[in-house]
Amino acid sequence: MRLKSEVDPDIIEAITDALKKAGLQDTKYANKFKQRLMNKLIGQFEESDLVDLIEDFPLSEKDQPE
Amino acid sequence: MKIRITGWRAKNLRGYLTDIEIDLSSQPKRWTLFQMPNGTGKTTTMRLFRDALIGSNLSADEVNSLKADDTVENGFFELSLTIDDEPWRVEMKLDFRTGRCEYSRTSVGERSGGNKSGRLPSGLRDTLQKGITELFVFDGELAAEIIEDGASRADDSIRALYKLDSFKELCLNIDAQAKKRRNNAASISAAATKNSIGRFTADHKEAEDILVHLLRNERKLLASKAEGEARIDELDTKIGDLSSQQEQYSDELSEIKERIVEDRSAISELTARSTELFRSPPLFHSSVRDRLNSLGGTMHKLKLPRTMSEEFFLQLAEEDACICGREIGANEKKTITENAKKFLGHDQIAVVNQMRLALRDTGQRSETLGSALEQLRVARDGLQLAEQRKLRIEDELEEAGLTEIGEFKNEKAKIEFRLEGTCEALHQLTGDHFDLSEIAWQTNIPACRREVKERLRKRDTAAGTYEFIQKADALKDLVGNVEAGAVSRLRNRIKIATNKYLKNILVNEPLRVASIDGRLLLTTDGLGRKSSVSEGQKLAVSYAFLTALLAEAPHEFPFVVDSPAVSLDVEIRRTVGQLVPSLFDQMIIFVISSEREGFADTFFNRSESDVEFVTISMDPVTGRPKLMNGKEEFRSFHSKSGGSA
Repeated sequence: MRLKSEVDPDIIEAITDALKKAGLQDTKYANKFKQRLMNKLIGQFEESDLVDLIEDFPLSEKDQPE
Repeated sequence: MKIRITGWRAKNLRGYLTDIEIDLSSQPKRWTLFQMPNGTGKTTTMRLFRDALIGSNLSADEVNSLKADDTVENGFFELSLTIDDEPWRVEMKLDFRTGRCEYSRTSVGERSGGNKSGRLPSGLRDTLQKGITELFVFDGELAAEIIEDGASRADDSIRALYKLDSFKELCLNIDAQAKKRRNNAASISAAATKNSIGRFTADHKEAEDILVHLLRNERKLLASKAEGEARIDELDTKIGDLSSQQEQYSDELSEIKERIVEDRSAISELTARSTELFRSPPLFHSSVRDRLNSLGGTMHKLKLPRTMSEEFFLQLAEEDACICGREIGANEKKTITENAKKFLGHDQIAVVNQMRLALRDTGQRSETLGSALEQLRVARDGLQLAEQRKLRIEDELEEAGLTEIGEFKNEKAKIEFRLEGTCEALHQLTGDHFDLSEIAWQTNIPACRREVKERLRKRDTAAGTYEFIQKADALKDLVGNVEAGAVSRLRNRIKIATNKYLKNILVNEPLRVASIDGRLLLTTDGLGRKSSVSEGQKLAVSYAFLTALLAEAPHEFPFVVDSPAVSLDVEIRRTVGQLVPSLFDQMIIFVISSEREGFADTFFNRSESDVEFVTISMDPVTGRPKLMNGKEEFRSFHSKSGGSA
């Protein structure tokens, strides 16, 4: 049995797919989201990381407040 | 993370655990086989491995069930392991007087040096949570739960191993952040804004309360619908069963009923005829008729002079002289009057004449009262038999519950009527109607949800938190999509890997995993879904799944298994024995002597540097466990006395 990387490649691909589906691929936020989620899976995730992820989420035009 | 079990010690516990020390660290081997008779502590060891790793809370009953005998007051179990090459020891101190179990752990590494009370640190226990530990310290009951209908063990195992529940936890944390933001905004706003927030909050709460009420109604209606549908299914089955049974009786019953009607009609006719015959003495019996016929013949021949009747002599007695001219005196008058009675009167002659005619007519009829009564008796016997048969059929119908069929049909009709109302109410309550203006939001769940959302939006806008909440919701959706995608990909990958192992284990059987949806859905080539499998097939599928799962897992675990081959055929044992061990860096296998054939013997030819054979038995003299290392002892154990213990 070989030693595995901490986050499974299928999970990483699922993150990429979900970002693509949300129209967020290749954005600065996409990289941050991916990294934070991987950190969450290996137990290195703080509350401030979550607040950061929420506040930085790029809402689409239709979701913006009037 | 890489975990390896390096040994265990026990004192005053059940079976061989009464006093034992197993050391797997001085000469570490890839595979260690422990051969022990049944009932000497294999299952208890497995259970203690899991408890030590998970840090289970044991009840007093559970603690007491571990004690060696009633003379001991305390005992202990200590598991030694390495976690990423760092040595750890977990000790469980068991107090049988109080029924308590206390944990302590010892480590010499960086994470937690020295001896400390308590279980393994939460970071480690997170990886060694119950769902994962039960996989590698294999719980035999898992085999059924991986396949069983309604079980979700296969999915739970994937989720636990890949920590996919982290995504659910993340979504909960996002909700908590949104709530926190709302509460903060409300507490720091100006008075006017606070009033406005308060009003919108109250509005939102009102809508939420109504939604809760509607959802409760929906649950009630759904439960009532499900109950009604289930009862209808039940009634349909009963009606169907009874109908088919009733068909067997219905032909016979209708024939019997027809016969009864005919018999009753015949009896009525025969009774009338018998009464008529009873009034006709010649028809009583043939002998009576013969005598009367004879009398009739005589009377037919008899010619009575019209004047030679009683009346003639009575009239003569009134005369002064006879027709012969002689005087009729008082004596003659008296004698004539007395003798007149010897002659027939007019009325009697009329009767005799009638009898003559009647006797002449009845002489032509062959039927007698006796034959009519015989026919009546036969008809009555027939009716009695038919009625008895009818009663018997009705008893049989009742016994078979067939008479309940009408009641079942009535009940079904009533339930169907009620169900119609329930479905209509459900449609009103849950239908996502296009024209919402026609639906009061207080009565419809989708409309109410929209109202709740709209009121929340107003509240969040007033509090200045709307944008944050929108972002939180969008992030939750994104995390949810990641989770769904990850589950789908991992399910598919593990399914393919499981089938690869299964193909090698069940060489001659086309049993495969069709998909993973909570549990493993099985199929056989060309036969669609397979819902029932043998114990051996179940175990083979479980090994294939576990092997696929653990071989692909992000952590390296040992594989500990108890009696892995008992319910497998010798051929399948051999394949499991050859295939599975090569996939793990450490395997601890507990076997009984009957598992040597086909399974344990596949280890005999493996390199001695890789495999250790240990035989444990209880010394009948001292009552203490006896450890014997080596292949020869292992091979010959119990073979002299024959069979497994």
